Amino acid sequence: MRTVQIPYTMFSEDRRSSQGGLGGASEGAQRLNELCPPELECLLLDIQGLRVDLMTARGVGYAVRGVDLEVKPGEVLGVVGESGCGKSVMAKAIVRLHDAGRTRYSGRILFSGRDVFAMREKELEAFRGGETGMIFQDPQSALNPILPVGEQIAETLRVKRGFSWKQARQETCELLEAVEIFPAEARYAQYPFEMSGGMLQRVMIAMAVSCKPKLLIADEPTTALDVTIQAQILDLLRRLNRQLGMSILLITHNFGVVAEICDRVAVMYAGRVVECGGVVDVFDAPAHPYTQALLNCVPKSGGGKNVLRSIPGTLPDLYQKFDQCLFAERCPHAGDACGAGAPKREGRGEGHVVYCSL
Amino acid sequence: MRRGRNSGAFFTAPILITGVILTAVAVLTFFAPVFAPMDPNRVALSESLEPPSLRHLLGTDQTGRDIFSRLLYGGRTAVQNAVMVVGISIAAGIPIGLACGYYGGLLDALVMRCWDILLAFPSLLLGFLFVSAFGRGSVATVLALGIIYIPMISKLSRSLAMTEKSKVYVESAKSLGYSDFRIIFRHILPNCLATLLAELTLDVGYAIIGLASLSFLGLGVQPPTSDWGTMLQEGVALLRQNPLMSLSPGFAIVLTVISLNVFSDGIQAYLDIDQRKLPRFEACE
Amino acid sequence: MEYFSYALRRLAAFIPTLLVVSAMIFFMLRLSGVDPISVMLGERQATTGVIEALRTQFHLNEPIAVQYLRWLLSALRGDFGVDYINRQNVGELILSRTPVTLGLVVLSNLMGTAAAVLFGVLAAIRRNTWVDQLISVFVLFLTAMPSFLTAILVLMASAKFFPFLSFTGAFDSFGEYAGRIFLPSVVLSFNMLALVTRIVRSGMIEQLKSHHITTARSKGLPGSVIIWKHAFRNASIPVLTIVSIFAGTTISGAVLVESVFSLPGLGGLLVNGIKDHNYPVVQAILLLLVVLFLLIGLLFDLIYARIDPRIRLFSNSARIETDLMKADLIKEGEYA
Repeated sequence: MRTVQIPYTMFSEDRRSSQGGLGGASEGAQRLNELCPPELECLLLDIQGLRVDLMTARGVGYAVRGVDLEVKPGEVLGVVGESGCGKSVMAKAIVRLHDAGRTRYSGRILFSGRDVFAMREKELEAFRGGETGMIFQDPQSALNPILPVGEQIAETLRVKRGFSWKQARQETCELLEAVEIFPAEARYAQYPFEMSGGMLQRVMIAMAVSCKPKLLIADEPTTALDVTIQAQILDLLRRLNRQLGMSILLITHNFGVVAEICDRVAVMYAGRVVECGGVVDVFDAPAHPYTQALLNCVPKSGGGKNVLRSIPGTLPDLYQKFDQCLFAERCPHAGDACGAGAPKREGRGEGHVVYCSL
Repeated sequence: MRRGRNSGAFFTAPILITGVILTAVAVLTFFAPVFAPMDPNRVALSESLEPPSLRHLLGTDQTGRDIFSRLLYGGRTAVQNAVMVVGISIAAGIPIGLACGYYGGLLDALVMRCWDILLAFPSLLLGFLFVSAFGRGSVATVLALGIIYIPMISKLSRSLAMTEKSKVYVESAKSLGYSDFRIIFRHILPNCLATLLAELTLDVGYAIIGLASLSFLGLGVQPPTSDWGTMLQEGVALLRQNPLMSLSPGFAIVLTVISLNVFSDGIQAYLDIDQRKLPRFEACE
Repeated sequence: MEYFSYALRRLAAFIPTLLVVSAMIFFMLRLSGVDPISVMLGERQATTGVIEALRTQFHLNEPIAVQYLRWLLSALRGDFGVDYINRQNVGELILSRTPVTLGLVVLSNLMGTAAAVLFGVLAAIRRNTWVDQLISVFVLFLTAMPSFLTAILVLMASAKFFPFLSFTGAFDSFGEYAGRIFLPSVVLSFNMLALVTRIVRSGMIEQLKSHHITTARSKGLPGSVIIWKHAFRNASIPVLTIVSIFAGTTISGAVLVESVFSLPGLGGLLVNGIKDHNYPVVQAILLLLVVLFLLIGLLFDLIYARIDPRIRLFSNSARIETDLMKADLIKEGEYA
């Protein structure tokens, strides 16, 4: 996929004044400042120089090539990028979900100050599901096809929180109601093949938040759903974020989704973050040529021309090691500086950083 | 055994070794008259139950027949019969299966019902039924096993044809107006051939065991013709006197069947790109 | 309720099969052209009067279709007639030989499956390590060993190392019965062990790669729960299919093993019946073994409809899927 897909509901020219998602986002940012003043250093998740190399049939794939990223308590961070830019690989790496023998991690991931890569098996088990929850792109295949959905949630409660079956069942029904699945009692006993994709994603969410995690990692949660369901799921995530004060790391390839619920956004390209900042800042004043190009591809509902634009060129080879800026060969502004060494990190206003040699 | 690891080359060590063994078995048994030191049915009561010697490489049985010669001739019977069994099942099973998979519908439903009935018999019992109907002997057992194998080969080729049918090249062949016959045999069959080949190699092994079982019960090849199964059966009574009588054909069967298994797995592993062995990092966790 | 109706549907599908199978058995035996009268008389001479009397007694003068129906109807009532040679009641004869064969089949299936599950799961979670390789080699040997050969080797070994123990021949008490069938059951379970281990291993490997296992790991479930509750439970459906198919092979394998261990089971009765053209015995045993096989298949169908709800709800599509899968697996199950 070369272009970024955006559903029709997204931007209008004057998105700042609209009552849509962005309004919510800036409100969220405000609340965030109260909750966690920027002068105080309090990070929930701190990713430092993360690299993930995957062994594949074609050789070593350099999926994540040095990512620095942070998530503060209570915020929603969006990570956008094309397919294959390493955003899902990074998300899984946060809880070390990759196959141990086939993956090489380097860098550090600190969760509330604890090093995830240093955790032992037991700690990791408690960490997964207990402090983080995860939801995936395709809920149909992410749930066990031959167990009733309620049982899959209750199982988590039993294992992680030591509930009895009866308690777990009751709690599960409450969770199902909290994610707007009614009637919870009847749905409890249904199998995944008896429910729709949107329903199943709600079940996944209920399962992921069942142990009140501090961070929810949502890996393209709405990609497989149709647009109206997509909006409902995003509303639900936003509500959980507010009610539980739970941070969300939202992986998506869709700027519309970011605009709707995120406080901050990180743009990834070929395994690196190219730009990161508050949603409004990034959208209003994209500093990296890649972000600019991506935003240019977004079709505008008010515009006269209905031409879909795309970025010329293709993604760089994932199986090669690179040091220099990876976007240079597709970049309209590329100069001599781009080929010489890693892109510089540069601050553009409060909390807005860009990695560009220009 | 599906080991699920290979580096992509066809001539891996297991394939080479088992290939050599299988060729040796094929040549030695097929040209048994050339390699056998004496007539397998030469009775010499004065030499009965001798231990291995230069004259009798594997010793002699109770009537003084040379076990080594009988082993080679017996292998010829066993291997030839097994190949015939598979031949029968190929000749009938593959065309029927491909047609069922390609056309589907009533033909498919009817044929599958027939196979269900044949498969309702626990494998060897159908062999027993055939033997009682057509009399004991190698012809009846080969025919029986051949027929028993038809449903399985035909089910396999049916499922292969069903998978291939939905692929684009079949559509394009159809759009060119090719006849069904041509599509099935010139386009679909070659694409299934590799999988079928791996399967049929295995089947030869199973047929050797199946035929030996029937012979062992005295229902298959009849004495004095030598056959691995019959030799085993004759040897059981004399296990204490000369264990080689039954152990040597037993070893021959196991060696051949293992080689066929490994060889077939080699073919399959070669075909299955997903299963190729990947290099691993040093464990990180 | 839906489960019950599924069971009924499966049971109904079974009746036509049974009719055709019984007809096949009956008519194919008559194809051999051996005259039952000559079997009954053996070497003896008899007058036409005696022959006529025998014909009437065994209803041999009736049309063959009538004979078939008469046989089938009385078989349904449990009456299999008397045999041609010793004029013994076939039903009683079979009943006296059943414990050995049934014991062998049941015990070897249970032992083989249990061991295969352990080996297969172990090989899958230790994939491509020496444990996996060792299991692979072990399984390869067991695959290639015909059960009668294993039986011979085991018998030789036991005669050498435990000459004071007897594993063969008739038995008087239950203790002796258990002692007699234990070793043959182990031998008989080897082929099944080999095959089922492969299926368990490949099924587990496939399951462990699937998305719902990633979810289960992201929930922080302990490894044992993931392996047994999530991966193995899902992988067990093809395993059940193959076990139910392979049960047929243990049924015919029992005949072979019995003959090596000289156990008084149905196998010897059947083989001798075939050799002597003693049809009432042959057709009764064949029919019963087929019914046993079909019943095992039905039992497993019902078990996996319990495990996988999709099978009983969409029995049509699920049947197609299982059929495809069976085609792949079936071959491996079909050897002695």
